[in-house]
Amino acid sequence: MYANAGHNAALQRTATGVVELRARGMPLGLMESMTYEEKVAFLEPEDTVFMYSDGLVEAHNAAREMFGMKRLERLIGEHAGGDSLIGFLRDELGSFTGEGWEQEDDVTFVVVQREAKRAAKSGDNDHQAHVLDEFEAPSRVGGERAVMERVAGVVSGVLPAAQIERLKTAVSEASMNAMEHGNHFRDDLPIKVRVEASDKKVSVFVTDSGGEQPIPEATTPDIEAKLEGTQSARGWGLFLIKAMVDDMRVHTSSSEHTIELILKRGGGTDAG
Amino acid sequence: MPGKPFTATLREPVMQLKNGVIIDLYGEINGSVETTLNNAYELAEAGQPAMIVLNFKDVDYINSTGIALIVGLLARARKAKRTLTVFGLSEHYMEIFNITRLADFMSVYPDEQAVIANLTTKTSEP
Repeated sequence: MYANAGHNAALQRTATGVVELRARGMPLGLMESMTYEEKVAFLEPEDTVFMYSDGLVEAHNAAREMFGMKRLERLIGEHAGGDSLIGFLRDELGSFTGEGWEQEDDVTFVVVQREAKRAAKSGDNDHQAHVLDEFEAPSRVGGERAVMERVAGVVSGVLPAAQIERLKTAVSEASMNAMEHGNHFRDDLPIKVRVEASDKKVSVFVTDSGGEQPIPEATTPDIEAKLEGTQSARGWGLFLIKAMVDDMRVHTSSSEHTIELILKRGGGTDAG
Repeated sequence: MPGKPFTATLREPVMQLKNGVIIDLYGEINGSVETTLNNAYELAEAGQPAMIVLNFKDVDYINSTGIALIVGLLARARKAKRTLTVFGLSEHYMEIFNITRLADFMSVYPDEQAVIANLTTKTSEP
């Protein structure tokens, strides 16, 4: 249950979008005997409610543009929710206002998140994973770079910078393999990419249409042999993918391969 | 999203490097830059330097085929008994040079000053 006393409406981040929690009410203490509308919102597991003071949305940058509600709603929608939302928005506000910003008003954030459903049994529980992005990318030489940048943008604020760098390399290599070896750079065969996040991990699924060919096991390249010229200098892709992520899984059907790249949240491996 | 066009430029001789030359790399290193990279390396080799230094300061992306190109240059340098030295790698690509073991076979420095400082130390040793 909630009420509002002339404050900015709180925002509820759900699995499907961001909604304003509006309720009528004058500023607190303005009039005696004032009554305030009370409303009810239901939080699904992992839903986040974000409350904030107007110093955030009314902050201006050097060009006198205002941070604004639209930007805030978009950013909350892009983030996976939870308490890391505070740091994420603080960083976004800092980037928006730039260095030397003179704060115009107080900036206060409060985040409330409903706990995820507990797993019925021990082991992975991915039922609560949110899809952060899902898209197709054309299979063309160099096309992996756009996939990498898009995924990096989606997980910005969800993973720390060092993990994002590792994920970028893994996504780039997986996409390049999918475009080249899975789809043979065919224009009519785009690769599919899905990015999911739960409290525990971020998963990126890269799917190509080459299900008839098995994906080889990732082995450690023999650099001595490569330097002596007895082995091709190439062959680093799968090794790099595996080294950059906490886990890599391959799912194969009769028509498709999917490589799932998994990074644990809250302190995965340090050195891949 | 096209990346920055790649360039590999052989720098005018740097006095402190003595018998070494620097190739300044810019952009992203992937399979498509093979000719440009190899041409710059060939030009650097022409003066028979003892050391060729690759400057990665302005390289923002290296993929696995780019790693393969660097392996190729390293193999070439070792065959000619030249030292291949690199500097300017980001923390992430430093990690990649370590896990691929490229860093075991080349001298890696954080920046150009460190390369020069190391040479100065070596030459001033008794």
